[in-house]
Amino acid sequence: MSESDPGMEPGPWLEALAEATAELSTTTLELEGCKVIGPRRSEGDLSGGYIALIGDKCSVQIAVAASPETCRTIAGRLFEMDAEEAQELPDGDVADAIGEVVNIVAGGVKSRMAPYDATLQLGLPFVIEGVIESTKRLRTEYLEADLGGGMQVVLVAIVDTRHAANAAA
Amino acid sequence: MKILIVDDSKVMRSIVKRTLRQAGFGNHDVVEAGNGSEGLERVAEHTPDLVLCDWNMPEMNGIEMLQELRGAGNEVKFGFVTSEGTAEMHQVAMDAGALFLITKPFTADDFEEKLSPVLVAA
Repeated sequence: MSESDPGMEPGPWLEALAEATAELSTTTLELEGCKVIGPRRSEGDLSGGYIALIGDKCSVQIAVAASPETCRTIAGRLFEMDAEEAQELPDGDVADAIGEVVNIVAGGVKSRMAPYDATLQLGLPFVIEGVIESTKRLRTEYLEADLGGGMQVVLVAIVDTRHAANAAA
Repeated sequence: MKILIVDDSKVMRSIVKRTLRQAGFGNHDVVEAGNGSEGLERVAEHTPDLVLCDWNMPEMNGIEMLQELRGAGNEVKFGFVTSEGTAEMHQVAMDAGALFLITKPFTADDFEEKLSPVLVAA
């Protein structure tokens, strides 16, 4: 784990998110070769599953975002469909799958970040399309990763710095 | 034997079914429910040998479902499959009468380890 303050910096959350995503890739998705590609400037015009982790010391949103086609491929893999069949999945099933993906990785992030804040609670996952407009109190960082098999995703960590500042005061 | 899967996520119910099959339990009948209330109805209708239940669900969550069952004197074998597996949740689950708690993401080996003693004894 890095030396950054997780209440103020997205870095440690992204690190935990990348580890939890790699775990999901090899287990639930049954893929091999998950790897981090590198930092990214924004999530771009992608669909993402978002979930909040809130504790006494921090308030964070994490996300796993991908192109609509990749979201369908991920969903299809979870429903045991091939990539072509997956493109016909109803939007609701794709949203269900991407929400469950971020829900699972959030559990992994929570356990990895528990030494920093043992009071962390998970919110409810939700799925949105498009770019998140940040505000001054938020710090956001992005990491591009390949789940394996060329399925590229963007991992997002958004930290509410005011929550941490208030907690420290 | 019959296994009831209770989870509000359709995809997670599909993943649990796949993992049951991979763990060697594919010959069991599977019944599904989308929340704790539906789960109680399915238990009454189907008298499953085992319930695999998510923790966080709308309408009635997993721990409430388990407490309802035990309060009504129903001793069906019950395990949680959940994305959070803190020591506190584990203790609450065991105190309420659960046999095990499997944390997501899980593998077929996890299912085999937790379910084998339960289903063999059923």
